Amino acid sequence: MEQVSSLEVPARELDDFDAVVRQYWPRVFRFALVSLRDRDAAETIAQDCFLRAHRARAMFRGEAALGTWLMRIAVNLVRDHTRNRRLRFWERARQAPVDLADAAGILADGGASAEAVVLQRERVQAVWAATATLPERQRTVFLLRFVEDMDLLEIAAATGMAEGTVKAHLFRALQAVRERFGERQ
Amino acid sequence: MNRHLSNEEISAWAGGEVSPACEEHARECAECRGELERLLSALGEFRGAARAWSRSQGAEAVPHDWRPSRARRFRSPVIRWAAAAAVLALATAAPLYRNSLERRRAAQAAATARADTLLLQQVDFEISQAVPVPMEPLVSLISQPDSSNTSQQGTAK
Repeated sequence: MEQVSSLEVPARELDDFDAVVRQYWPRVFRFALVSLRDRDAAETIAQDCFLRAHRARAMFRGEAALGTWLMRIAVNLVRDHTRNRRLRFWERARQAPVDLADAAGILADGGASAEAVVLQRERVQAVWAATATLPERQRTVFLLRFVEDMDLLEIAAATGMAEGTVKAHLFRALQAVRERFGERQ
Repeated sequence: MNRHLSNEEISAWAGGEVSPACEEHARECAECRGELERLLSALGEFRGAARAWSRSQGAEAVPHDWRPSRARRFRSPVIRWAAAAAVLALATAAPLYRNSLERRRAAQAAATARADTLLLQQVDFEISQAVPVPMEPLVSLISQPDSSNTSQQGTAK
């Protein structure tokens, strides 16, 4: 897990902000990418995230882990991006977002047999397809749990939701994924 | 627990919440164990695939020129378009401003030329006078007796 506790990264280490960016950029970018499936938007959000964090670094007291604090900023930016209707026009005008089939076609290299790879690809496609249809909050919680490997308390801190609400969203998302499996099988 | 795991229990398990009763049932029930394994395996594969995809999109490469003060330079499409509009406005306004400036300079030069001409005309006029203008009445007074004397001398002759 890439999570680093606030004890390991004291607030004064935020002074070396380039190091913070190097450490957390992949995670923030990845969350934005899997949420929006748009590389340009993901890069913009990652930049915004670190810009805001840099401006607000004096306010970081270490109550939450640095990674969780950054993810909270990223979650808000992704939400704003999704909700901001003013950007829709520009989104249409820009390069088409990454095709879902491209994303689903990429698998972690596990050295599996050809048949196993086909089955694996089907399962991964089913999960991608299910996440695409999830409501925004369910999708955010699902991705933080199953891509970023965050536990329920960390997700609650990153999303500003109560732990019970996070749990409810996660279970509904999992139900949707399982239903999609049922359609495929 | 004799009954199979419910959907909620399977989802809760996948979400990280496992009750001892569910664990015990899964140990004994191949069907529920299989269902759980399929779901957990798919979620693990999804995690691996999402991370691999993210790496393929350049997630590991932090932009080299990233600096807080320079971040977001025209990254947002709105800012990009606003910047483009500002450049366009400048490009349109600059020739207009230049024309206006040139017109103003030309008018100023014409006014200076007119003033210079008037001044020269005045200087020419001053130079062409035998005596300064304020002294003209005095000169005429002096010249009047001379003319009367001349006429008297002429008469005497």
